[in-house]
Amino acid sequence: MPSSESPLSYLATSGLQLSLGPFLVRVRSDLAGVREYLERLYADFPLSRAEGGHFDVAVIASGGLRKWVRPQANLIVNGEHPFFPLPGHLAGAVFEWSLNWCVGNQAHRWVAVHAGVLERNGRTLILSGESGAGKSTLCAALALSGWRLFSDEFALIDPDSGRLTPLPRPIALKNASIEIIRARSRDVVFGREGVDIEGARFVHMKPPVESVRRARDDAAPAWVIVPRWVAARPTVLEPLPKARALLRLTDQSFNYNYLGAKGFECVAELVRRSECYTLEYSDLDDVLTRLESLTAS
Amino acid sequence: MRWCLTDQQQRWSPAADLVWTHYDDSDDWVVFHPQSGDVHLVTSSAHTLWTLVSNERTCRLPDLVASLAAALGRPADAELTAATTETLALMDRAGLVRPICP
Repeated sequence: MPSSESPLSYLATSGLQLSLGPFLVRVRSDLAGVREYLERLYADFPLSRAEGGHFDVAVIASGGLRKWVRPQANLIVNGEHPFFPLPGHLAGAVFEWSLNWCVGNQAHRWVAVHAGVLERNGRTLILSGESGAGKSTLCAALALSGWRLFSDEFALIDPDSGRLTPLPRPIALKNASIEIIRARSRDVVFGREGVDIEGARFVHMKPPVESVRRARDDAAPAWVIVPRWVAARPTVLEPLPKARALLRLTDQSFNYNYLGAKGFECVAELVRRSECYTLEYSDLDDVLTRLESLTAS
Repeated sequence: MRWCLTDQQQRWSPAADLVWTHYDDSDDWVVFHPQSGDVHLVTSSAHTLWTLVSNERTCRLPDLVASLAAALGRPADAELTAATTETLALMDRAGLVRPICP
């Protein structure tokens, strides 16, 4: 019989319910790595015994000899198998990727754009960067510097209000970013470091508790920034024409065309209401000071 | 019968239901094509040309070049004709205009 004291005890049976911003997620797993991951990185999130939810995620160990020989994690989301089985040591990351898949493919009440989002004084800063551009590093550094983390993966824009909905979750860091962010705070909790299928070192950083606590407080758009980390480059913050910012955000959106003209107009209006910039940087402290000054003005 | 971009008598029509957006900080326009879901960045001149295609009755190349020359304040010469032909071809490929088949 599962203990009534910890919802995690339901993980391997009927499942636990995880409250993530506007979503309720039913999670089931028989892998110790998933339980350990949730205990470590989702300790501040509302958890309860599963009673349904928007997404049904199961990360299940392969049977037969695969239980012992190079164990695998199988992902089942709402009855579908979106990925091939992945190595068992990636189980925690598989859970995160499943959430990305759910939001990107099924959360059509919002326009979902691949971006980092942070908030201060009721106004949000959207970071839209190419892979390897330093978006997550900057996002993590800002989250450790007094900004409220909305998300490292998704800007969720409500097409009716034009406001952004928070979806705070662990931040995925890769390679050198891991040490850079570790050095900025000794209090930050990280998951177990791993190597992904492309050979990159990665780790997930626990989101700040205040961001999790305020996960229902939406905010207005204010800044769109396209960052790019360039070695030894001084910080350069330059205005980005809004037409190009709109092109960038629609290109990074998972579902604006699913919503048709309404989705496009939603992103166009967000850009209209925002100041847009490109940012090149190499020094995190310097860029934090620049963004502090930009957003205070 | 196949249409020909360089045919002086080829007539053009605008695609339906496009959503155009413009901001004050540049001359460029952004257009959403609802059928394909694609978004395109369009220059001010191309947007003017598209507007002419939408408004003109005949929409043949010589008429469009003449109207575009008047709108841009430049001569309706061979250079503008070539640029107009090229822009119509680009907008055709993006689905923003359509040739009217005879």
